[in-house]
Amino acid sequence: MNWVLLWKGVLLFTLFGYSLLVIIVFFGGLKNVVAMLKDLSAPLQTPENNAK
Amino acid sequence: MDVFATNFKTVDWVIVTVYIFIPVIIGVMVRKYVRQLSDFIVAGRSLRLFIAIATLTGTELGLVTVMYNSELGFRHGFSAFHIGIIETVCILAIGITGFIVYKLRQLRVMTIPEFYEIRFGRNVRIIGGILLALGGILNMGLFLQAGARFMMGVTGYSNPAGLKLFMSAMLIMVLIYTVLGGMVSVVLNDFLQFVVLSIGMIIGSYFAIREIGWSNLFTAPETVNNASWFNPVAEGSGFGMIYVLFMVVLTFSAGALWQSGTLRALSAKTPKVAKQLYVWSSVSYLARRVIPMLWGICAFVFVSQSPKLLSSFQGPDALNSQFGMPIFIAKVLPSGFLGLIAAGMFAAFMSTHDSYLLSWSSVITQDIIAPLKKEQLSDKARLLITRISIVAIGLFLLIWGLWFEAPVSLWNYMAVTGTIYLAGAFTVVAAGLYWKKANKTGATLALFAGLLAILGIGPWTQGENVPFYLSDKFIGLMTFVIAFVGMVAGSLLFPDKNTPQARKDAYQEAAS
Repeated sequence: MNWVLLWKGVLLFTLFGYSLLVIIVFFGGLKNVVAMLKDLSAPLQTPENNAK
Repeated sequence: MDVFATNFKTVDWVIVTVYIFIPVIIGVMVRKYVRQLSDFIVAGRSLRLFIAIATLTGTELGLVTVMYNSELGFRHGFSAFHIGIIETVCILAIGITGFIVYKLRQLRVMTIPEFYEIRFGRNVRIIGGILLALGGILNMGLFLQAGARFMMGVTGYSNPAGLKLFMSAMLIMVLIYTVLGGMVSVVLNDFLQFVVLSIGMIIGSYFAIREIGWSNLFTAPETVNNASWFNPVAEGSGFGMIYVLFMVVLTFSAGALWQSGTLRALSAKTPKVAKQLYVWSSVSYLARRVIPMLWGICAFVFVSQSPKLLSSFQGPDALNSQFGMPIFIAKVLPSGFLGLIAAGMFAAFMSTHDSYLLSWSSVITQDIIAPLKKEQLSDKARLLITRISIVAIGLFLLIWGLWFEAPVSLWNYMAVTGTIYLAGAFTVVAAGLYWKKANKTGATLALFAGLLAILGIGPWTQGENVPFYLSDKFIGLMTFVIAFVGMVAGSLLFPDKNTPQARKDAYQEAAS
């Protein structure tokens, strides 16, 4: 088994794959943050609220 | 070349200082969003996919992760990469199959021991909670020490009293924003820290490879054995087949059940998002291993080229191998970038601490104190206990983290202390979810079996010439095997004669 070739491939895949993931997560995450804060601002689901 | 010579200048100090105040400001700002316990612990179960990936990565990629992985790269070379491959495959498998995490999210539990109660009763929950808190808090016991070593290596600042003061100040910052904002604050900070840390890691890798050279990187230094530098099962690699097997069970169980990571799956908006989270995060799990290991390898090649540096890591007064990576980056990164990398690493330090503090304090409140109280605790009381627990754990870390010296490598210490909880938890949760005959006797035996892992940091692991020598990896692997045997034997030999109908109904209702 050619270990050097394997680790070269793993290293390249990690560096490129992770860079891509960071870009995707950055833009997707910004949208998610806004949506999360909106969810948390909604009225609480208490029995009183449900009854209304 | 002076060992602690560094490019860290005033501008770098300014970058780091400004950065570490940002999380506290966020903690204060989001306090208004915490109105009930589930907001504090699982952010109201409102996490969507990308923010969940960022926060999971932010948690599982801490400064301590960077330190122990770079130490592995520094000591063992490319052969250490096998741990990253194993972990990535395990995380991907969990994501594709949804093994454990999908069902746990469906059950809407907030902690793992909460599941123990639904399936096996309150006593199992309390035992599981105690062992989880014990293993988890011990596991983070060396975070501060590793952080201090990074700080010393990068800045060249070596006054021990000043270091302790700096690390204490960092911990206090984390305590403030975690106590104030809970999971909402943790999630937002993790997102910010994910971005800063990731950019820092990618830039750092560029400078590290540029310094060493791509082809030199894949040539084993003269001071090491060529085969063991690349092959994890070659003689002299420091790993071997038992270690590889231990890593398979450890990383698979940790991937599914390490409370701080699983908390993200439990906070996900839906069970499907919980599964997707694992599939996507497999790439960041690979990066959290491979990139720091790469830095460690580059550091060793760099050190090997300088007889003075090399001699400082050899002999009876040798520097701890954790210093290799920070000393290396302090010399090859230019000022300014070094400040950014340091800020990224301190971000990592904080993002791991906040989540771990929240995880273990939630367990203390939900799984130990609340079940022990006869009357129902209000959300307000639980919030207060969680916040007090966060501060108490912080104080313990300050004391333990600054004086305890691990007898094994940092990663092996983490693996062994993690096994105290994981060996039992993995067996109990997997059997509880997928094996009808699993019962509380088996669960109790499996949980207690996990305690055997503590033998893995005993003096008998210190070399083959000590009496009763047992390697930490063998003890770790055997702990998983014994926990499994305990669960099967306990369940088959002592079947539950009369499981309360109420518990059966509660489990069926939660699972449906």
